[in-house]
Amino acid sequence: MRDVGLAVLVTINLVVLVYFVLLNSVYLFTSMTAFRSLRRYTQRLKSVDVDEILRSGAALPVTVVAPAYNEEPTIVEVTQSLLTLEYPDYQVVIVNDGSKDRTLELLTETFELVPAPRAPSSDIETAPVRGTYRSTRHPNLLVVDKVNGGSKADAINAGLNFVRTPLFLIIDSDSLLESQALTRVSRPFLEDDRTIAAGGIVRIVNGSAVRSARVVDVRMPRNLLARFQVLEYLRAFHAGRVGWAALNATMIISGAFGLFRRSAVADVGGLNTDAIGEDIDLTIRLHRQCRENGLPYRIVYIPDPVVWTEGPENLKSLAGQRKRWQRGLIQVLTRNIRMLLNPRYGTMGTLAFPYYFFFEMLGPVVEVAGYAAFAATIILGLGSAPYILAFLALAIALGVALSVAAVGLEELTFCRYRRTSDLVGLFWLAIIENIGYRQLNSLWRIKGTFDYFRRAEGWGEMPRKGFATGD
Amino acid sequence: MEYPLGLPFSDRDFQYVTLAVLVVLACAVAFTLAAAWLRAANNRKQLRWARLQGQWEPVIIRVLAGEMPESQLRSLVPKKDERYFVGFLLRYARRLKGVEHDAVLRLAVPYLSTIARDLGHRSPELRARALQTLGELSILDYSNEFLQALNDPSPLVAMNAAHALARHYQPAHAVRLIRCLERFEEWNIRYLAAMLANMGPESAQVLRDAFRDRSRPPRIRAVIALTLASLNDAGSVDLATQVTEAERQTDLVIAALTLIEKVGGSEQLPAVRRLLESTDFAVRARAVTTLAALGTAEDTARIRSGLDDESNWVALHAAQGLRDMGRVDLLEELANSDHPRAVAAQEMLWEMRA
Repeated sequence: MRDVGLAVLVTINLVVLVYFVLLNSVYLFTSMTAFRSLRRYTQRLKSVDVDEILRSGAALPVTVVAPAYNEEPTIVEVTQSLLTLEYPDYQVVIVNDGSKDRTLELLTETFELVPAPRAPSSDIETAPVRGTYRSTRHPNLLVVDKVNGGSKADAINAGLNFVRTPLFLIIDSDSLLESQALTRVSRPFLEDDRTIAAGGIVRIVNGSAVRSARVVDVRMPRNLLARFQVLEYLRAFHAGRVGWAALNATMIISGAFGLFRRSAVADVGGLNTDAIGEDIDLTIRLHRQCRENGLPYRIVYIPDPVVWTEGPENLKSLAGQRKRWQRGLIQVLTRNIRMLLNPRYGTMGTLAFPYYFFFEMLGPVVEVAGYAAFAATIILGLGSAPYILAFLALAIALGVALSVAAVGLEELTFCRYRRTSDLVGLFWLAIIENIGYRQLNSLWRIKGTFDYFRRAEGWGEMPRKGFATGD
Repeated sequence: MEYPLGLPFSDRDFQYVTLAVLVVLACAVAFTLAAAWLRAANNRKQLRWARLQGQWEPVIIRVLAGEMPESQLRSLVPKKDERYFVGFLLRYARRLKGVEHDAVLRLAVPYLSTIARDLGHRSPELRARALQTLGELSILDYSNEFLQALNDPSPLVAMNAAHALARHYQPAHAVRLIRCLERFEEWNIRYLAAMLANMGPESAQVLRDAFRDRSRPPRIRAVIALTLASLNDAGSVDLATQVTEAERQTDLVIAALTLIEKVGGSEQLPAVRRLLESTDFAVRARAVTTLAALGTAEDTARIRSGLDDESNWVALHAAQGLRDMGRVDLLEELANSDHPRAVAAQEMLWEMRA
């Protein structure tokens, strides 16, 4: 019996070791690809005049769709920020998804909304629309008031039904767009008509100074959990998404900030209302629709258009978010399992999908199994001190190296955290996140995996603070 | 004591693992140092830029106001800061017009050869940047280089050259520019049309010849049609009519309809009416809009019937058409009915009253 237990333990340790080497090799590869890609991109930015799009009259009309559910603390500021974007031809559609708070009242009072009929441009099925309102102060603002449909996707679909422009932007109604973000994110659509979706970077706003719905001073958050998220987002966007985009395998256009060709999204029937992660679900369905029908297309990620979002500052909210992300990931990967290692889907099928399947989805299981086996090895006295030390040192060193590389990419490109103390803080976080935070994340994702298979649902409430912070 | 999962210090495997740890740690330290170095370099660059701007700004304002000779500003530009200075002038060149703009261009002349050297650089981004700078500051002195750049292997470089050439129209350039449009076939047609429209009405004949040429790809002809539309070129309306009769490609037909809408008249109505029967909803929608702009009273019923179209888009265009024709009576009738598109009519009435 002892021999069997030992064999299991040895096997788990071996699997974890192999998994660990492979995972970090992928991270290293995407980081290196991202380095090359970001360097070229920043050089390219210097050779294009972004304002020229604004002056030329060539900008493609865009509708910004922001679903709002109980967004009383931020809705006015966010709407104001959306109405002051530097873009020549755009509309804003706020979808009040049956809010129980004063979201609609605040919008009505602030923007002087009046009931105004609006004919739909498409007929995607959604929960009933109670009414449409136009602002007497801002002719490009439309508010759609609807019955809560139980999902963000339903609210976006309701907005999409009223979009009349070739492009539409999905943004969370608790996020702040930088004023030039729309101009920048729309460029790929001008440069290549095959582009059907483009995403930009999402950054954590906590701690930064916000005035008149604009981030005026970028600072690191004071809250430790939010600080960890700053580093995580830098790693996920700079090293992850840029790297995958360079391989033409963008698998997620974030629901917090994504520009889509309206016709392409309407052709796939809008967003999936039963999808837990409606953003990754939509991106994958767009890939599939185009690949399976032989349609030329591009889905791209570009690193400079920025949207700022509030990150959870307590364990409960963060855990809820991470569990939901994991459930969404499992759902979309299992629904589209035919893409796995399928060359018909190009680099998406052969590289990105397997990565998300084996490392992002199954990763937490392997990781937690590894922690358990590692603990058992120590407790049962089966491993020598050098083994334990070497394993720990390698795990931490790799984690630190990859995080610091992401910070380096930020310095190489956009350098948004200007204070030296912020830079030092990011280095420090790169070390300490490996002890505790990383393990917590894996546990939450394991819980998310169980929840998915137990069909447990829930979004996890996140208390909103509003943006008037950081001064 | 022997451990089942042991790696004794003397074991070769342990030495490999230790080596791996050291290599990874060295990488982490190297990344940290690189990031810190980048931060320091960025800070230095910013400080230098701020210092140079602080020196040049008060002087350039006086030079542009004619209170100081240009040589005084040039004397403040050491050889190593010439590129910064060109970047500084570029910002003024984009903002100013007239004699002040010309003065900025004169100030730039002695430094442009440094920038022009980048046209031979192997990095496409640097070549594109050089073209952009030269295009703003002195295209006439480098027009051959710009024409050559139209054939650059990098589309970014070619596009920057095309933009600059379009802004400084010359008949010979226009022919070359239109010839190279096929290189940009994947770019958005509206973007390309806006670029070509910079050539101005003098380019109309060249554009018409290109629009007539059926050997060109339909999308390129669509770009040219949209350009002619934005130039309000009445001379191309017959060509546009022929295109609507002979061609099927959606972008091209829609662009021709847009041109007809801008500069057409009653002679074009039969061709437009025929397109109301198109199988392509986008063409039908555009035809309804064009008909509303040019049509006579007898076309009202045709436009009204657009509201019965299976496509929401055609119905919307039809409602907008009735609004533009001022047909409140028809819109009211629809709005008060149980017609499935009654909301479109209500919306137009709301807009008319708002």
